[in-house]
Amino acid sequence: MESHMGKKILEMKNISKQFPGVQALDKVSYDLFEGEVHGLLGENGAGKSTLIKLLAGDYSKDEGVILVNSAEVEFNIPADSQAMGIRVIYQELNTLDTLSVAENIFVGNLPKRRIGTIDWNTLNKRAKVVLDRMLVDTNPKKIVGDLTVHEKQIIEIAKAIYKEANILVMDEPTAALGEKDIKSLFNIIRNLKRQGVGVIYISHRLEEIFQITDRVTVLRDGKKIGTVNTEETDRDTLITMMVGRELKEMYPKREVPIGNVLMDVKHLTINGILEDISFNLKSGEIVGLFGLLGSGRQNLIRALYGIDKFDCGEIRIDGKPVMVDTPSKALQHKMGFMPIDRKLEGLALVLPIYSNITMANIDNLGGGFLINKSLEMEHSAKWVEDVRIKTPKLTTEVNSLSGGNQQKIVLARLLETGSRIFIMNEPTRGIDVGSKVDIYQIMESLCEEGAGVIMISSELPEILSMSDRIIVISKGKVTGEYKRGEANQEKLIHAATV
Amino acid sequence: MTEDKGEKQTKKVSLSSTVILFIFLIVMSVAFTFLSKDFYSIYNITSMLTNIAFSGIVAGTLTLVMIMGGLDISIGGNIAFTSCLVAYLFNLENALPIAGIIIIGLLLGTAIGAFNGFIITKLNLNPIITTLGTMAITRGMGYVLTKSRSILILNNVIGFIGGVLLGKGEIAKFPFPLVLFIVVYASLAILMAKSKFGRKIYCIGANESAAKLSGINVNKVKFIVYLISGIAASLSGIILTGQTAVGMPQHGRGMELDVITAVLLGGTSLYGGKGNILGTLAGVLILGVLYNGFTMIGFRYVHIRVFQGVILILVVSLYEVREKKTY
Amino acid sequence: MTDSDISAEKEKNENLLSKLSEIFVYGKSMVPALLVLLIILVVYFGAMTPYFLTYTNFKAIISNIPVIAIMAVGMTFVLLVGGLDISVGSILGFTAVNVALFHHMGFPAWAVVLVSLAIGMVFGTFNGLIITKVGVNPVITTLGTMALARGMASWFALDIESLKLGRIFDQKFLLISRLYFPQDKQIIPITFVYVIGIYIIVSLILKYTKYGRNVYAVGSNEYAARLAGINTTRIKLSSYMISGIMASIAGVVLVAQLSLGRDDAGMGSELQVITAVVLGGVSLSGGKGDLLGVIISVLILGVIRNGMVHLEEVVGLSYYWREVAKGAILILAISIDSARLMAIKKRQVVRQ
Repeated sequence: MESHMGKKILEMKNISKQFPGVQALDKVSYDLFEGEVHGLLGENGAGKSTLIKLLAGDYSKDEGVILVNSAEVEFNIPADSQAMGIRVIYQELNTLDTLSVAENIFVGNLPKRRIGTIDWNTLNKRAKVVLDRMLVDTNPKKIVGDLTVHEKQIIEIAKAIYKEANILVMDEPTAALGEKDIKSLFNIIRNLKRQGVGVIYISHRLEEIFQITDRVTVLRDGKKIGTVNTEETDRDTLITMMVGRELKEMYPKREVPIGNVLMDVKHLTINGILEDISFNLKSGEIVGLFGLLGSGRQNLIRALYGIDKFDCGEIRIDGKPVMVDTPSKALQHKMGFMPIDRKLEGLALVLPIYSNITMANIDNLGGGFLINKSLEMEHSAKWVEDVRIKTPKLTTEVNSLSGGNQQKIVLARLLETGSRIFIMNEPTRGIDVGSKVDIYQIMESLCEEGAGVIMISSELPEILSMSDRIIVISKGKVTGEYKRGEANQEKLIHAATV
Repeated sequence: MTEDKGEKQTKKVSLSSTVILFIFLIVMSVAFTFLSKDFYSIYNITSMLTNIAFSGIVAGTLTLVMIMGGLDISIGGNIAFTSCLVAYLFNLENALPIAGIIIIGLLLGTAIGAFNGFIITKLNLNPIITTLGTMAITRGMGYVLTKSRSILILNNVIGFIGGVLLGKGEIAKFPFPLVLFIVVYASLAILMAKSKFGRKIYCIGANESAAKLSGINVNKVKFIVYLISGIAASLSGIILTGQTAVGMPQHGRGMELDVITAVLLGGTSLYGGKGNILGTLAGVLILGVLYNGFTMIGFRYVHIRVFQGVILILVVSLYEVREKKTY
Repeated sequence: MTDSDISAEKEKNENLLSKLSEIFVYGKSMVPALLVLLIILVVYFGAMTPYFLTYTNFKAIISNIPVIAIMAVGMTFVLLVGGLDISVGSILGFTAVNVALFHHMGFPAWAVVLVSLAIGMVFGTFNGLIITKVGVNPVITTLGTMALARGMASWFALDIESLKLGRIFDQKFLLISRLYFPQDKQIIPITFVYVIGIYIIVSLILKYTKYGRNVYAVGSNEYAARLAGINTTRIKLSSYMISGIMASIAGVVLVAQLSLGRDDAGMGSELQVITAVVLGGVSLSGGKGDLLGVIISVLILGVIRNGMVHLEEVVGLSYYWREVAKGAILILAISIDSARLMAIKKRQVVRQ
């Protein structure tokens, strides 16, 4: 490893962190030089976010040492980390929606007059300066709650950048940005480099890693796989490091014959959000849905499953037009929905496994008013085996399962309702590689039985390998449709940022 | 990485806590027997259990509400209004038959429950503040109806059946309220532990979004549960009126505290999705014996009121700390 | 009129309606709507009875407001950080009993006031610690404290026989609420000054101090505030402390007004305080609202209360409908709050 011209401003040695059921970080080491952009690469669930939250003082580590400018530090609360000049831009928006843009950017650090009162004039002026530097036109007095997702992300970036940061951490900053904004963001980063700021750049977008980083560290399943100089490596090496096996081994063969049209979506429109979306799903097929944050993918699948209303358009299942305006109706038409956040929307964490599995099919657990317990246990046991969860007891609370097993429980619930049309929203987000492989194989066997899957994924290798067709959505419209083999990462990203 | 750490067995945990509660109940009862010579008498035990029945019935249905993740503070006001209405109707010139009056009373409870349910589901308002408002409205109506004066019910007008219905009679030597209590609890226990409807309540309380996505009609279930809570409160109000032979707007004051404490003591979680009727039974009995025992020893009502507050905070703090420890 | 004329008219009317609701209901501040409501109420009651729009009546309304107004300031802090405190009425009651108690024991006025402040501080801190350090739900916590404080109030009141009525004779103490400017003409009661003073000072604190802005930040998004380095625990704790102290101050003022310290003082007042604060635009969800709306709301509630007394004489409407009205207005207030929140959510561009 070549040494850099600058000094080492950050060193994290042998960091470990455990959560119930999962070893999030296992003796991970990471360092950063001044003026360097050091990428942190890994799949969802590899441990990147945990490492950053530890650095930010939001979590506390179980083991390991953190050194800033060669002096050991302990971060117990976010303020400790910020005192050391560390600023983090999170992927999830953490805006104060009831306050103004200016107040959001300078929160906790509002400028004061000599007598100690808040100087609103200076605040607004300074905010304008920051926003100009980021090339946005937003009025600093506007209430953040009224802004778009895109504008909110810019505010988040501005929040971190304006303060004198020595170490800037960016967690998937381009999730909502288009090509033009990504270019301007990179310019800002290069500027910061020149000023000696060290940047930790987290992404699972390989093309960005190659564009902006000097070095890159790869994490997988909570462990550090390696650190390389960006110039000296290539895409395939990085992917293999990220995934741990040859890409071909990870994903199943996908040789299922494709049958009739299961679902036909025609001219689906939600005013102001989606415009004239048309596509179909055939039996045995996996259709991948790709797009950036703010593209409208979420709105689309929520409309399909009956969570949100749509203004125009028609949905046909097995050739017949249907009116799916509640999840209950969707279930009647044998649609199954796997939400993006299993903890928030998918699982009843305090309830046992069997309750979670039968949640969508309670009325069918026996004839009358009461639940047929033995029937319930029988069904649950079958699905637990089918989705390959190795837990001995069905009465275990779902909370104590690993992420991978929890996701499988959600899947089991869809199987219990006899779904034929599966809508999966980031199905392998935040789970270990072993469970991912399991889920891919389950998807394959579902297709073999004639089901169809619509899968939203922002993991390019995943969506490219698993999909028979990929549909790209940008700003509410379909901007691309590719058959297997026709697409690659560049094409997808290009279509998504049109 | 795929290991499941410390598999929590749901059944075992909740059963063991309930057992501990019942053991505590027995120990406490024994203690009071020694501490006060008046405690262990047929008269005291029966009247204590009858008292427990009033708030106990409401505690049972409140358990449903709280497992679902909601709250109903309007129960006290419901009791007051129902009590005043029943007594008022009773004393009219051409009074309706007792059965009719009772049905009207229950209908009132249904209406109050429906009001709560409607506002909370259709307008999507915070259950706590909504039911706080309903409490004011219902108790206020009680005051309006009675012009703040208590309405007495004359004993000699009530026949045997009326007495039973209004709570003064006995069935096979058991006071009627107690019988009702047992029936209600048995029904609620079966409902929650074994029925499809009960399971839906648990699911909604544990994760409302997941329940919605699973096709459960959340609004309908919530509405029905608040309805049940309203009916139970008015039932309790009717029985209370019969027992005390008076309808007054002060009835049920401060009862919400008792009932909530009992439910929380019984192991129902404020976060929803966890709890059971047996636990609430233990909680209701423990508090009932506790307050009765204290009274026998010589504490006055005001002292007990202080204890109520302390016990609530203590119970809920302990459970909070325990939940935090496991995660 | 042709069809298109009719539909154009309809559209104009609909636009007018939506424009009006934009300004009055869904706008940034509730103040315009509240002022309109206040004017309507004054006009209505003025029309119903000649005794309403008199100077004496005006003084009666003003003198009934300070207690709720002061507690509303404390409740505003609590709601701004996203919490709730239903124990304020009981803290007031306990304070009232202690005022009588200490007065009976011969303490001078200033000492009584100090003790009262201490009581408010203790209860407020207790609430705050249980809510922030132990992590219990604010409603349940303050429900417990409510019973505790009220119970203690009754308990203390019991044990002092002669104090069953709790009469206060210390003139210096009574002046706390009975001073007028100027003393002879009795125009402006000192309680009025208290309220205006507290409201102005606290408004300045909320808008122009770091502490005030941190309060808004914590209520707006507690996690983000924490990430920004704000000590959210301390901010939340302080808001409950302020609520407690305000309740005890209100208790002192009330006892001085009535020259009576009873254990049922302030019973049910938490409902009115919460109603006033939410109606005034301070959102239940936190981080939003200011005292201007609150003071107008307090005035509105005072006018309604006073008006209903008159209505009983004029129309025969039972005074007890006031209790019902209290509950109904509370539910109305939270409905408006909820509607405003929904409108904001709808306005946000939600392409995900």
